[in-house]
Amino acid sequence: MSNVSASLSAPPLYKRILHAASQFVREQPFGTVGALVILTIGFAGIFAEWVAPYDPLEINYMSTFAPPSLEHWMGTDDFGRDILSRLIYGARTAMIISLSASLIGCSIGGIVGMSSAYFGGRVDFIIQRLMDVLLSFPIIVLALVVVAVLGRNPVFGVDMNLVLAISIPMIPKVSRVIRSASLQIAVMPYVDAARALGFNHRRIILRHMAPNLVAPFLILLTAYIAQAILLEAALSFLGLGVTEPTPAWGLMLSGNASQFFLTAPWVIIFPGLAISLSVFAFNLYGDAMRDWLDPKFKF
Amino acid sequence: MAHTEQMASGAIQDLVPAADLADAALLSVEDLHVEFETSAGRLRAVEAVSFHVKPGELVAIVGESGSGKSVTALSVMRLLPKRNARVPKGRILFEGRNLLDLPEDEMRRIRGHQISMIFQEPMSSLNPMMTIGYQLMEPLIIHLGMNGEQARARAVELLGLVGITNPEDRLKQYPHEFSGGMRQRVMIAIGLSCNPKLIIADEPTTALDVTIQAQILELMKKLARELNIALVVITHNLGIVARYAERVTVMYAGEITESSTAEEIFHRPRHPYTMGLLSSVPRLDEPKMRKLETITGLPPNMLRPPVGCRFAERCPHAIDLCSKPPVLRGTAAGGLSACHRLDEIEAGGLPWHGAQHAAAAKGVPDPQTSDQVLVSVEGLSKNFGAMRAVNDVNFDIMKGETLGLVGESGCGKTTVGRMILGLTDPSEGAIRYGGTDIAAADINEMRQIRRKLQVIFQDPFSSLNPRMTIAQIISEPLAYYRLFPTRQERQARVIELLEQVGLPAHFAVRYPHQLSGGQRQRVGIARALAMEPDCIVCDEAVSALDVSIQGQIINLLEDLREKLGIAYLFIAHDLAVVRHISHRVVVMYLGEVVEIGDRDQIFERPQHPYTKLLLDAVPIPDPTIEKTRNARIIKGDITSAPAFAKGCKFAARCPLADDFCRTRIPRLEDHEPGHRVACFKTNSGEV
Amino acid sequence: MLKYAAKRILMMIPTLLGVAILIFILVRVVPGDIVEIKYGSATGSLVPQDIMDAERARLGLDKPYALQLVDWLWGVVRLDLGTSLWTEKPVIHEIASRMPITLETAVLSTLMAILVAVPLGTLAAVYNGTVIDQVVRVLTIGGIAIPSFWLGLLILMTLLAVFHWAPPLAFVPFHKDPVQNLSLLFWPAVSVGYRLASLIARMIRSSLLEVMNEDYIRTARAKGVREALVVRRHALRNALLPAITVIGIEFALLIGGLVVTEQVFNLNGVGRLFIDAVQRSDFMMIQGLVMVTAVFFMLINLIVDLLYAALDPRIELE
Repeated sequence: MSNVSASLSAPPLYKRILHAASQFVREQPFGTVGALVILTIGFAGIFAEWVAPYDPLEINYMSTFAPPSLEHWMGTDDFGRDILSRLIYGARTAMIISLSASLIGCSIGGIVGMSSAYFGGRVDFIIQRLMDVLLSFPIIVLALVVVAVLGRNPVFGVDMNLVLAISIPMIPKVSRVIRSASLQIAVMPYVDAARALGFNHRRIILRHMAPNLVAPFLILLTAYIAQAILLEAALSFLGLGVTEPTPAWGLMLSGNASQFFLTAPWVIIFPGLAISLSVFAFNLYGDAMRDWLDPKFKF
Repeated sequence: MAHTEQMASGAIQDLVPAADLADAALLSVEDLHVEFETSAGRLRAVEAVSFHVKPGELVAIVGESGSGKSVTALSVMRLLPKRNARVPKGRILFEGRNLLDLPEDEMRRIRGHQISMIFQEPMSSLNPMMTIGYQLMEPLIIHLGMNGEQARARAVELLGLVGITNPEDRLKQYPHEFSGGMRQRVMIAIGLSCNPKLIIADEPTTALDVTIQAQILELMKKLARELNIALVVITHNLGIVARYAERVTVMYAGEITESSTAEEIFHRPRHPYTMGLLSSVPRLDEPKMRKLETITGLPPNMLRPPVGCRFAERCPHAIDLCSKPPVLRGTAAGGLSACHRLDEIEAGGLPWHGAQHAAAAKGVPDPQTSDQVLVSVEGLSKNFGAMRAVNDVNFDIMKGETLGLVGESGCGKTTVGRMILGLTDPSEGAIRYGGTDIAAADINEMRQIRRKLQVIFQDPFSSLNPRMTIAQIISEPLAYYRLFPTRQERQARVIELLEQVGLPAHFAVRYPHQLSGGQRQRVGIARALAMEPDCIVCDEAVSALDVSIQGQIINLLEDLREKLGIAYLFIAHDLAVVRHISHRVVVMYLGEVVEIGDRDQIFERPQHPYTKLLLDAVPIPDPTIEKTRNARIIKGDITSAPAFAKGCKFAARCPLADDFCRTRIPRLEDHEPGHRVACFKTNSGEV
Repeated sequence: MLKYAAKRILMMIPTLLGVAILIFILVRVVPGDIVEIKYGSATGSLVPQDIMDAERARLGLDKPYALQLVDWLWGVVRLDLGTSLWTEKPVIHEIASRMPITLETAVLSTLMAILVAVPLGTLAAVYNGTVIDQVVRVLTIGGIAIPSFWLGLLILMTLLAVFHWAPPLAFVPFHKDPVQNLSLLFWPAVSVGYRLASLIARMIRSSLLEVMNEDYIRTARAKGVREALVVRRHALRNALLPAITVIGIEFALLIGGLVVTEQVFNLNGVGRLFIDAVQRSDFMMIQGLVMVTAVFFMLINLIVDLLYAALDPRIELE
């Protein structure tokens, strides 16, 4: 009891995170499986140089369309490149693009939504009409135009304009969800209490509203990572996303790959499985996180 | 645990002449146990509960939240959530058949036919997508095999029976077109539809205003009597019990503590918990003599209930024996009590002594109101769109006084409070604090005023930021206003404030969800106190709390006022609480002040017919008084008055109203010094 | 209701104006020129500059941007979306000729999705937490996770490899030859519909779970209504309301969102038109397509709101 004042600060962050993580594992087995798959894919992507058995770009005309074997677990493609290695390097591409795209899209959407809710009135009306315009643009068109306009701008081998193209369509959707969540929080008695205590707008938004939007934000973020993987794959498939020779899952399915599917189905099957598995894992994890953080939150 | 159960159930069989009861009883619950599987472990919500109901009888089950009273009711209907609820033991005999053994299909035929249930929330208990008519006709078609024509005729008849006018037209309407009281009438009509033998009403009037509550209870009692239906009312409100029940069962922490006739329970309680409960409630019929003698502490955690008497740790009479489980024993008056020291109680040896008894005995000094005006409200009005929520409200809050602001929901009392706090901008009028108009104050003046005017909200669950620790919540204003510049000073102040509101220092590191409702409300008070305010607006600050906790918070607020000289604007709908705590009282109706005066003027010499009827509607926790009293009921509800009414807004519901009242607007006029009334009929005698 | 619809349609005008201006600007900042593409100068063939300039003037591409914008907006107001720079036929006609195939695929997949999703979502909610729920959960997350174009490829692969059958090449309207029509569009609709069904089923599951916790469901049970009827009559109706919004929005998005699927199944729909227009820098066609999909999107949203109001007695449209 003598040391009370020293113990008045909350337990350190890492302890709280550890505690939360162990609780999550216990309560959400499905989500834990999802998280493990994500971690595995992420690990493979990060350490691709060590994990991948072959160079993903190495062309070998001696063994084109080799079926899965001990040598090439998932076979080879039309250039004789090892599919497994390309998938592992593709994981890196997918992760970088989807993580950064959803981080950018959700952050901008979140800020737009929160300010729309907080300022209300005319500002809200104008922002919402702008979002309507954006929302009524077909996603593919939006992505096409961004890629076409901004050209290619590779950073660490990943096209940052593609990231932008994928993140823009998220903005109106995220902003709507965050806006309505903010509106709910803005009328909570604890926000009233903060106003009655005479705090300024900045403090009320940052200290009292924003921390309570973290849960919906994280849930949206996870969901949109999954969406971004899918959209990137679709764009690459159409030849508008990642370009050769960068290994990317969607790209591996595009072009003439589909013409070989009768003779070499593995060329089609494995990249699709990689996309599906990672999106599946993110959704599994996102679902669990939603149940765990806030069972009432829906979008 | 098994040992306990055996003892308890064994005792029942020994002491209650089971055969007699079973013959006479319509419903008899025997040794009922209910468990819930939760993520935190097994929760034994109901343990060894036994009671019976005779045909046509009015029985009340009383208890605070978590006492297991609603779970008991739901188990009779077999409506417990199937996913995680289990009844490991016990029997529920209805007309001799054990309901727990019935196949689902047979049980379904009993529900709504032999036994009906009325729920707490009339606003959400009716399906918003279906017409009232459909919902009313459904049980008639299911159980009585009526065709549409017959069912419709019966539905019209039923709506008439529960006092709904134009029943034919109303059948076609949807629930949202009905007020709360009207929806509860519809629920009663549904409950009555198949002429059940038993109606279970779970907190049927808790969500309703006091005048509507009186209407609904009166209606239920009348219909039950006329149709010879047994009625089980589940409630936390002792006044309702006193007015309506013949027999009472008191529950605490999942067990029955006492059971007897209403008179015995209220006049000669035989369990310390009952005694404590009765002395925790302020009474409307008593002038304020003393502090409330509340029950200290909190109910036990039901995941790990104590092995012995569950009330022991809050009981002033607890002895070593109380660490063993008590058994229900017959009392001299034919009731039951689960106290080890029943014999001493029967001998009159153990009167209730709350922990504060010594302090309370000294009594409270008389109202020490100062004549210095702290806050003055002048011509305050607020429009929400076309609706005038508040109209020309004037009053002053004196330094150090508690000003009660009462009225039913929709009367504008909360809006007035929010305008005083600057959370809502007034449409017209001014609020002056120490002479400064709040609307015209500059930033520095406003900072000062903000500090001096603080707030405590109703809902302790949403008024604390869930992402902040208690220390952060309380110290935030201290840092923001640089009241205590260093961290050490702030920490010391947080501990001091926690102490002041009766919380241990180690609560500082907790988060709000780790606290109980009463504890959170204490944190809310500490946060308000941190600013060293002159005036705190208490917006229904105790109405969400359980009776025993409510008493603790009321006493805390009073202590703080005495010590620190804080004035309160005490906004509440519970008139007994307002009488207990206030020096002066403002009564509002539909946005206007109808009467204002000091406590005794309002409660002993009310002048406005609305005030009189409001006071009449409140049931008093004393069956002797209640049963001799002829409850006079205000007709209609708040929606009865058209918004565009030219004259007195209460005229539509007022028994004294004449054409004059309906065309002229009454102004507040002095009736006696300090007592102002807005009524033309002030001197025309009885309502 | 009519008044509300009229008001909403009026409100669409500024939004559509925004879309029209935005797409006008966007297509013009895109590098690439239809004339160059037409004459293949991008691939290095040499066409005299004056011929290219004459072609530009003929297509009206030499006019100042401001003038082109005014022309475009004035055209939009008169419901005239101009002529395609590539085929030089009216944009409206081009879109109209491709619309049936896309619209039918969208309708077909949405209908199939609803038929599958409603029972699936209901089952999952009623048996919440059981094996059935888990199976539905895995199935529906799968539907969201599997890219529809990959599913399409797999379906084609299976049809060819296992059944030695390929869908017909030409589109025939349903009323002329339903069998050929459906055998062309059925599989694309399945590959899109799986995702849609998953989204809707998840929505129904969560909203039904929420409704089943409502007090009025307890009331229905306390009245002695059979559990099957409680779900069907008292809960499902209320739970379907929020699903209508999801169905409407997803359906509206399909018009512009079938691009990839049309590519896989080689369907000559609006999505293909989109891709072609982008690859050919056919400004007028892109503009026209965006306007049409935007109008479609907004109209569907309006219909959803009107439907919502018609079904929910609590909502009164001003």
